[in-house]
Amino acid sequence: MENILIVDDNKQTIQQVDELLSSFGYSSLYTLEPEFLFEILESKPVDLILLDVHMPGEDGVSLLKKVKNHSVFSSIPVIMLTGDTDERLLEKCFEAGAMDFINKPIHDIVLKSRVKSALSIRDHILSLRKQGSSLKNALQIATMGIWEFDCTNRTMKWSSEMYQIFGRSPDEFPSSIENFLRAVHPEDTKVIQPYIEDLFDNHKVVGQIDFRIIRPDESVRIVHQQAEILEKEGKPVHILGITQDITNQQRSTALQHAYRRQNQIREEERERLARDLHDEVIQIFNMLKLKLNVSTKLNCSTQHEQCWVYDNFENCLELINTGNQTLRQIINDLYPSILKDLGLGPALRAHIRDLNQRMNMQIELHVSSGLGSWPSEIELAVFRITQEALNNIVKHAETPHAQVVIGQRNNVLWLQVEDQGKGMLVEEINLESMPKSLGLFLMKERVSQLGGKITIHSQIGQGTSIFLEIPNPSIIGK
Amino acid sequence: MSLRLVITDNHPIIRSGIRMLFQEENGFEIVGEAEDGLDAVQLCEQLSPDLVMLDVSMPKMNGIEAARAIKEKCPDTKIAIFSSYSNPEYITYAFEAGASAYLLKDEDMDKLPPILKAVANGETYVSKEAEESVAAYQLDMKKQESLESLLTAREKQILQRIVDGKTTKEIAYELEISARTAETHKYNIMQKLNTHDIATLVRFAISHQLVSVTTE
Repeated sequence: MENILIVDDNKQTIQQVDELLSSFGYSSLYTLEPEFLFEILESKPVDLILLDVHMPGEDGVSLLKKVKNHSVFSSIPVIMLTGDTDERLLEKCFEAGAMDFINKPIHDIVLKSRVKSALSIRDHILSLRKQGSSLKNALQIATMGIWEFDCTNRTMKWSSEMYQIFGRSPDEFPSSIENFLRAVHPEDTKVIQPYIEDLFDNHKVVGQIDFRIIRPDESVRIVHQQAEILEKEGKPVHILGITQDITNQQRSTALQHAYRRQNQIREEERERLARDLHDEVIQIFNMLKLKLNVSTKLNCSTQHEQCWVYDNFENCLELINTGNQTLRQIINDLYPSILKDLGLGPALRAHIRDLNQRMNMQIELHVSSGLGSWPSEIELAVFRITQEALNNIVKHAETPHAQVVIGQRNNVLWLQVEDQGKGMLVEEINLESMPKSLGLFLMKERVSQLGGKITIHSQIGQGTSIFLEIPNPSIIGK
Repeated sequence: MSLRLVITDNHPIIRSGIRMLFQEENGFEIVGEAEDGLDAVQLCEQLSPDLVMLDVSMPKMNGIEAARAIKEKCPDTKIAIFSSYSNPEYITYAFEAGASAYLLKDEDMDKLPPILKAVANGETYVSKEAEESVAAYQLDMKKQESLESLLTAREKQILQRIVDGKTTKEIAYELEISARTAETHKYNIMQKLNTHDIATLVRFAISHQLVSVTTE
């Protein structure tokens, strides 16, 4: 049941209204002395206030202002009670935030319907506010910013989430088209420029767009943007837009893809390993068994038989050697023990020499003399990344020339793999969004898991360069 | 007096194979068997053998590390690495660690006793099939010792232009690359040459003759 507070210095009015309200099904409180208003509000929940305009002491209008400026009670609707028809006074009441007024003497029908509509307006406002705050929450969870563009004076307004997305504060980065463009990643400016022109100059919406922005801390985020033009009498007045930070979504989709692909590659490798072992190693064992079987069945009584057995043994030795080499190659492909035994530099050297011989490449390696030894996790990662990068060069770069340089500086390990081949498109090396090359994406993941960073530069016809840096965790720990 | 020998391998089957081989042979006595590098170092300290045979890939301590420790603790004990890897890296590291011989496991076993005798007498030995690759490797290492090979072709072009006093923008324009790329190259060069600012970089490049300087 709604609680209605009556504030009036006239006992009869209070009595009348009190009776009427209870007959309408409301419960009511009252006070003859306006100074008790806030005391009552603080002690009891009140849904509506009926406030007399003319009272001795503090008058209704100034009391109304106090209620409307109060941090907690300002949302309680107030209906003014007045015997006065002075328009100035009424205007003052509405300006101060009164929802309605009722003329004295009070008619029951008028009271009933005004109270009812005031309470229903209050309910609507409360539910709108609730929706607004859940929308605000939703926007924050979805890292979604809202902006509004005024087509007449070309000003822009950003919601607080927009600043979060840009990683800026409103004082140093006021909302404007210029600042919006300034945040865009330079490589995406070409894409975004025509979109912005269409939208803000020609008032045309050309679908949705994804692009990258750079924050002041140099981190790159991917955002999704869509806009809507609001017209009035056929003319564009406002442009409403949302900008959403979709970096995490994109990253997790890309990771899912990459891991799926990685599993697939792993299965393919297992299959290949099983095939190699079966086709090459098992066949050698079978041959050996066959040959040794024949030899044991001979009693070597003739010289011819003796010679044959001797040859047969020679043959077996050769087979064993072949098997040995094959197995060693397979084992080395699985895990190069030189990495564990001698460390990263020699392992890279052996790998590159082998690659140069087998694939007819001319890859040069330079290991800076101060490389030292690194945690095995880092050495393995750097070895695998180099392997992957060189495989890419063998497969795609269309050049035999490449360089691998590795060294350390201030306890940061750095590696560079560069080729003079055909190069890649910028989109292919854009590792923040859905990458074209999952290999490169996984490379980046591996480096960032180790607390390092990787930069890739490539241009068509100019080759590709990968540069990575990984800090030594044992040093940082200390 | 026979040659006192310690054999080291983490595979019992290999150890028993070697034992079998030397049983037939006069002039050898196997005084100890170790199953990893750490074990071998301790045995050598206790027994001071004439010669120790070490496998390379072993748990706890590998053969190269063990060779280094043995050389330090028992300088009179000769070391022969007995390995399945013919990579020149292994061979070079083995000799650097103080080994006198590098033998391959798939070599003809009959040759083993005479080789070990020669090694005990102060000679060195490398398997024939590994000799060539070691020579090529050492040549390769010498070549890479120069600072110049630290820089890629592109970086050398950029370094030259930096020394010539060109701005990142000019360099990018001349080489038809983006300014961002040129900037990254510059950063990488400084990282590689361990310099912190352009002035030091230029001085370094000139004093190490990484660039040509034209005087007008």
